[in-house]
Amino acid sequence: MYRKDGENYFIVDAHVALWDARPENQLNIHGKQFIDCFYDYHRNLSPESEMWSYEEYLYYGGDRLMKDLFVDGYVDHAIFQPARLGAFYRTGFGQTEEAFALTRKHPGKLTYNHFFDPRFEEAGLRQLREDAARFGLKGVKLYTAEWRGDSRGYKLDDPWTYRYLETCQELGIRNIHIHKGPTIRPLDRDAFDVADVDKAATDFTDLNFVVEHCGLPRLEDFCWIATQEPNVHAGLAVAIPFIHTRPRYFAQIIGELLYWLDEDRIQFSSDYALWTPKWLIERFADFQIPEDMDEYPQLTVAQKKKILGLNAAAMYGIDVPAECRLPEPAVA
Amino acid sequence: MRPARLRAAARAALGTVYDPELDEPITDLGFVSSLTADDGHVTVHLRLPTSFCAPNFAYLMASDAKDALTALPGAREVTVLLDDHHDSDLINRGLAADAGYRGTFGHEAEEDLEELREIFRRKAHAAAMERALTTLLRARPDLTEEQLGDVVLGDLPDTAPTRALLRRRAALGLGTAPTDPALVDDGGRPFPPGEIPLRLRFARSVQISIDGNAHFCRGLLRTRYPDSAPDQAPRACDSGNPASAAPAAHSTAPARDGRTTKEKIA
Repeated sequence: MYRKDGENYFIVDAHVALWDARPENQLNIHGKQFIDCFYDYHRNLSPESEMWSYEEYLYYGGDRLMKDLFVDGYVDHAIFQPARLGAFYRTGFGQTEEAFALTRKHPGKLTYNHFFDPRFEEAGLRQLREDAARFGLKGVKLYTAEWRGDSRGYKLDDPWTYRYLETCQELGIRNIHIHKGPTIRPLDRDAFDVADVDKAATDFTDLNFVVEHCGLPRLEDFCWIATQEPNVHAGLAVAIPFIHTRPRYFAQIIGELLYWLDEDRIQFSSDYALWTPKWLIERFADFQIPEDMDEYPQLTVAQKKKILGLNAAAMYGIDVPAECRLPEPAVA
Repeated sequence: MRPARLRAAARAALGTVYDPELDEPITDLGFVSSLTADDGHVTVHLRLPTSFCAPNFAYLMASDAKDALTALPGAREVTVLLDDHHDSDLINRGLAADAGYRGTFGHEAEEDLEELREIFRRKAHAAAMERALTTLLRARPDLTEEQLGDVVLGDLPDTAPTRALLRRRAALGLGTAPTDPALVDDGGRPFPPGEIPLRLRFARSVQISIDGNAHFCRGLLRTRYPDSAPDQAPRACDSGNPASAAPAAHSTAPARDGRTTKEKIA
């Protein structure tokens, strides 16, 4: 919980990872390129005081994660959103066993979402059923630019993905987190386009589709579909650290999201360990749209409470203590 | 051609190569890391903000650079190399062999990248249109958003945003006559009056997205290659638009009635 100016904020960090990118886990040059890209994101957008060394960044382990999120970071509940990256790392990038063990060791603090890859076809569907039972899955994280064999990406409206989404419906996996990456088949198309999310959201109205980093670098495409599909949500991973380097740009992002979506469909994510949650939460609670940017209304405390935790808590059925809830709306 | 003259011509040719996503020349973005021209041999190294920049755009910029340089009269042999990218080997082999898009990417390529280019020409136009019209709204407080449907290109002052808009219209094959309407869709058609504030608003989200990406990519390039900073020129097209502020604030709202927007305005 974060307390500021007499307000209590319940914090759900909706996108965290426990990764291992150390050289011994890298399969090839792409494993190094991938973590170097993350580290440049980290260095480019973090305040000086929050910068990690490269060695810390390669692997930080469960104890460090617990401290950064729950001791220093005000987080009440965090959701693992692992990326497999099986073509780049021996045991994968996100460490399934370590993260799941941590989830069991700290009941009520962590939710483990897993991934699926529709290109595994029937075998992957069987695996999804096993994973759902073992992890008690409420959500999955899909990285559409995952490399597999000679394929370097898939879409949400591929026929096999639909089979997997149907299985999610059946298994009660309601929250589909989508992370778009740079590769897709065919390369003729824009890999970051979210038109496939639009189709899937239209066809699976009982599933929630959380588009991570709110569609960036295609904020406009994301806003256009999200305004029309009430089951499409925005994750703030990657977007929120701009609050430090370019607060006016962050004001535009949050202003556009509140305009095209609404305050109930935006979720805070630190994207840990890309960034640490403490400073992001402190800055966001204090953040206001600059006065001269009067095309956007000022942010309210209620909106900030929803974004920082209440929205994701509602999506995942996480219990919120009474002092952090918003007053019930008066019945007309 | 003397080496210095060839080098200058090569530099100018690279200035015509655009990053389609960011709508800026690769020279202004600092993506050209080195250029040598000697005895008709031109060699260029390109660098990008991350190893994982989209390979289709990376290929487009590199192959456009090779085409622009090959067209120079004094260039007998042109080598373009993309450094430090996850597809560097693939793309550099394809460029060396002049294999084309399909020859470079094989089964991952279906037809060509023309539709991709077109999508980003449309986005660049929408962003330029928003900049020009927002600049006009700020200069003319009497003008409402709704009245923008009556604004023609001849009403726009001769400023950088207007000239940028005319270039983007020409690139998209849209008219540039002073009597042509300024607020139009991708095909040059004006919008129905009831949709104008929403369409301006959407164009603004395109502009925010492209400008935001351009700043982030510049920053990432400097983080990755600290020596690239002096090579970067400030982003020109948003310099007159610091806040992207619109005078007619809060005047529009998207449809809130669930799934009907698409039918209504598609």
